[in-house]
Amino acid sequence: MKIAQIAGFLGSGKTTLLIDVSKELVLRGHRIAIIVNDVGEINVDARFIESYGLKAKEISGGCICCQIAGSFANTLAILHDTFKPDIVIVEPSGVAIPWGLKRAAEYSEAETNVIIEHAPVITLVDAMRIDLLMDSVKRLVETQIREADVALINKIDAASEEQIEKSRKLIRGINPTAEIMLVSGRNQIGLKEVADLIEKRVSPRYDEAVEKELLRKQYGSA
Amino acid sequence: MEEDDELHLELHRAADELGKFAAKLRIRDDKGMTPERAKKFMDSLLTTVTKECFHDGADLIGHVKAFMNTPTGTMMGSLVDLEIGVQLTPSLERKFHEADITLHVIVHGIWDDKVRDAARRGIEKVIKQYGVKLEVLQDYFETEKSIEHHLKK
Repeated sequence: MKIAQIAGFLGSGKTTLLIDVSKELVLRGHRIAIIVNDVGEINVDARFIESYGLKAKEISGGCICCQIAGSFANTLAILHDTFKPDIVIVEPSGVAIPWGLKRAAEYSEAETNVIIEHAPVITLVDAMRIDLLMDSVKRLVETQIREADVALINKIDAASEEQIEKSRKLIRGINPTAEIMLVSGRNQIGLKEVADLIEKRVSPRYDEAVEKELLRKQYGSA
Repeated sequence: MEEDDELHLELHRAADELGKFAAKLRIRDDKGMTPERAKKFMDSLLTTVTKECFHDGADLIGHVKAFMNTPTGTMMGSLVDLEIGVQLTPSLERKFHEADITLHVIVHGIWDDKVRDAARRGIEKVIKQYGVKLEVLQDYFETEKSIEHHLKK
């Protein structure tokens, strides 16, 4: 069962992209389940996603990469045993750490007969609000970019060339090895390419040493 | 607490720079609400709540979202930038009298208690403007405000 996480700060367009990519993957014959997570007690996205006829599970009340990792693993195991998806797309809370989420997903292997693999970690970057976000929530945005395999610069239909270029430079500065793609969730630009990423490629499994190194790079601790 | 746990916690604490409020609401319109009026209502609700938050000191929208569930269909509304405005995804088929709305507000710059007060003020203004009845089914303030949920047990 492949886990595909679509990370990104609040308002970066995760839910819109997730719905359209899921529909595309369903058309290609995949059985898709979606997990949405919020640190708060409720999440409005699950009901919206289900209104498109997609299978969605909501996990609320904490972050699935650590505090309620057990609930996440348990939900994956139950989904595997009952719905039998071949791909689970995860919309983590705006504060989840992608490597922590990989580890949490792999916990499900102890709960049922499943082998977890990971699609490339995708992080959405909101080109329209890049300046605002870097002023106010810099650390969160940096972390999500740092742990991405692929960074999607979103809203290119509305963003200026300058905003797109600034987003590109920001990503390059934080994560020089990340692939960068330009997308527009609203106009479905890049949609098939994102579906290809999830369908055809894999990202390494959790490695504690890698996570520690990423955290240390972020905070500069010894 | 181990060093890595502290780093992890520090990152999560960054999330608490964001003020949050959520509520489940039920509105009733005795005259009936058309899909067009429902769209205007949703637009007003999200815009007014957001403006009230900015009035009280918020400087960035995380997201302000609402999902409306009615006997004749559903509608999602999302506001990320006041200049761009509310994005609506309606699938309402005809007039309805009652709707349940899940409202979720996350902004940067003010804490949860201020977000709650501003959101409530915004809700009341819109309810009055549209002349509909309001029942608050659930207010999630008490469960949202704590940093405890970030601490590893």
